[in-house]
Amino acid sequence: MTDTAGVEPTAGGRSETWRAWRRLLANPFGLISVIGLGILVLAALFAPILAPYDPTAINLRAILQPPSAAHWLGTDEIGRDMLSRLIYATRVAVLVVVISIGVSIVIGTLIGMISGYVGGWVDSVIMRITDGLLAFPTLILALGIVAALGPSLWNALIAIAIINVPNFARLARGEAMVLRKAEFVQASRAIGMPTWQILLGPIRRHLTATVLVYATLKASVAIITEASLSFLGLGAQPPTPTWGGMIATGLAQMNRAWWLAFIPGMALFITVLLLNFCGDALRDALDTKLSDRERDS
Amino acid sequence: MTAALAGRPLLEVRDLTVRFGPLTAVNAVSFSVERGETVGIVGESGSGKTALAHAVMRLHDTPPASYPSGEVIFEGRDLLRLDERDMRAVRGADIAMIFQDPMASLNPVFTIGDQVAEAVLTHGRDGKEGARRRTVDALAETGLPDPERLLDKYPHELSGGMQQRVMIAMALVMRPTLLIADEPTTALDVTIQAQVLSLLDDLRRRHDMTVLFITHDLGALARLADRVLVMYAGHAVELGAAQTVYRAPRMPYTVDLLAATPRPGDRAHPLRPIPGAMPDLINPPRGCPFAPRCRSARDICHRTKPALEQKADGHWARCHLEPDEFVRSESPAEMPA
Repeated sequence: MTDTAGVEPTAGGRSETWRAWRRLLANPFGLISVIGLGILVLAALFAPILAPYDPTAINLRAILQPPSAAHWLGTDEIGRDMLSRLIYATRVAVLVVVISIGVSIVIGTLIGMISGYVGGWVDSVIMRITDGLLAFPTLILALGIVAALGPSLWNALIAIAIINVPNFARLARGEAMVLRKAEFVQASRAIGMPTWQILLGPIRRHLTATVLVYATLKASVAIITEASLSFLGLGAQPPTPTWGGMIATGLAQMNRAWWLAFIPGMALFITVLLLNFCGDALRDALDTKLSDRERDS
Repeated sequence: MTAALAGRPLLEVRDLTVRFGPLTAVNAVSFSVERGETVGIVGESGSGKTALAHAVMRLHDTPPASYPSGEVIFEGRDLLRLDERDMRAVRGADIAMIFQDPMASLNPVFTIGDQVAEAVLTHGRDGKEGARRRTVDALAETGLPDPERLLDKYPHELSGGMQQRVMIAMALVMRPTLLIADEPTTALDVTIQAQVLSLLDDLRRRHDMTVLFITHDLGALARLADRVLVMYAGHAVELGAAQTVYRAPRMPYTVDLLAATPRPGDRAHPLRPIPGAMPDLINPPRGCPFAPRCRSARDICHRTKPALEQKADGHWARCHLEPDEFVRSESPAEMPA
């Protein structure tokens, strides 16, 4: 029994998820993005504690102030504290990622998996619908949906979810079509597993890495889409602070107080950058398993 | 029910045809497997042996596959006519399968423990704890050391031989009555092949298991099989007791197949490959499917397809000729005219 001699000790720990985390944090970009995005999520969660002022409190005696000890990031044209507004605005960004991207991941992946695995006319019908949705430029489609539903934060979230569903569906379909032919899926069928269990077990598990990486990249686009909608006045309505809305009002004061548009713009830019870093690092962290295996064999 | 089934074969395949679109992969094949018996199916790549095995478990997607004729009677029920739900209950529990390439057949993202236990949990007869116990037992039975520790390993952390043992454990964990081994040693290196073969032999004896063993390795069959079914271009071309088929083949294809197989210790006979390739399965030749490559072929072979006839007691072959009419030369292969 020479082949059974050595089971290599597992590096570091048992669970593959845990190992992926370690690899993610070992990557400088991964570490920066995890810390940065962590700060954003904490800011959103603890906004009422962190914000020095009420983000909607108007103070007409202190309008368009440059950054100072009292107002670290200055005040806007009606004297609201920019730092507080910036902190509260992260809530909208986090909502976009969690709700819109979350919903499109679940729905998109599910219908994509079914489409690719079942094939036949089911696949044709689902794919023609997604093709139809993909034919529109995303922002135009989002504008159309919000225009139809009426401008509000919720409708913007719904619109962003809808425009992202086809992307995830396409991705999941392609993977499911390949996996369907994989021998281990045949093996799952040979032990008598029903189709839905194969979809939600082996196939979903395989999709996780790909979908996760794709989701971080889509999340950055979704945040920009939300900012665009808010910029156009179709997202969260005033006085709710959003980065897009802040840029829009700040733009009008560009000559007198350039930081009003610049600061939320930077917040948007940094968040998108962090998400892209995170996506890259995540892909490497989740791919290492494959290269481990290639190295072994 | 058991009384009525006594004396009948465990698995009876009758006149089974499997088509993929216009291509006939398995052409009206009939054979049976008795309880406790090991039947080997042998043939070159594309002969339809895997298509036949997958049809027994109904693993083909329909479409593109279809079963225009035939019955697969297992314990008195025609599997081709079971609904999907009943069929799933059979798969894994009554009939289990070992696949060719363990590396590809194990899901890389699940631990060994999860995958083997899944085979138990799917059939819902045991809870988590029972499934775990069965898993450890099954792994131990395949000779894997320290099965408890293996539960948390991923497939890529094991060697090819260990992976195939895990596949065997996964197949055996529900104590199936029929085990279908689809070229279980093809993807392994030679020393591991021998180990896996003796493990299978050992397990089948210990559990009195019925085995359908698919291979293109005649040497492996000689060790394991009681009876052999030789397939060519989707046809059953010879069927009989393993020893008889080896010593006195009744079909030139089997003769050539044996001549193309290395035998340990035999340096006198050079290996003689069979020239040519399998006929087109979409537009098969009118006569015997092997006739275009057969050195003994005569006019009649090209004109009419021979039936599978009983040539001797329990020994069937599909050939117009008698063994003394076969061309047997040990000379190097020549392309038949």
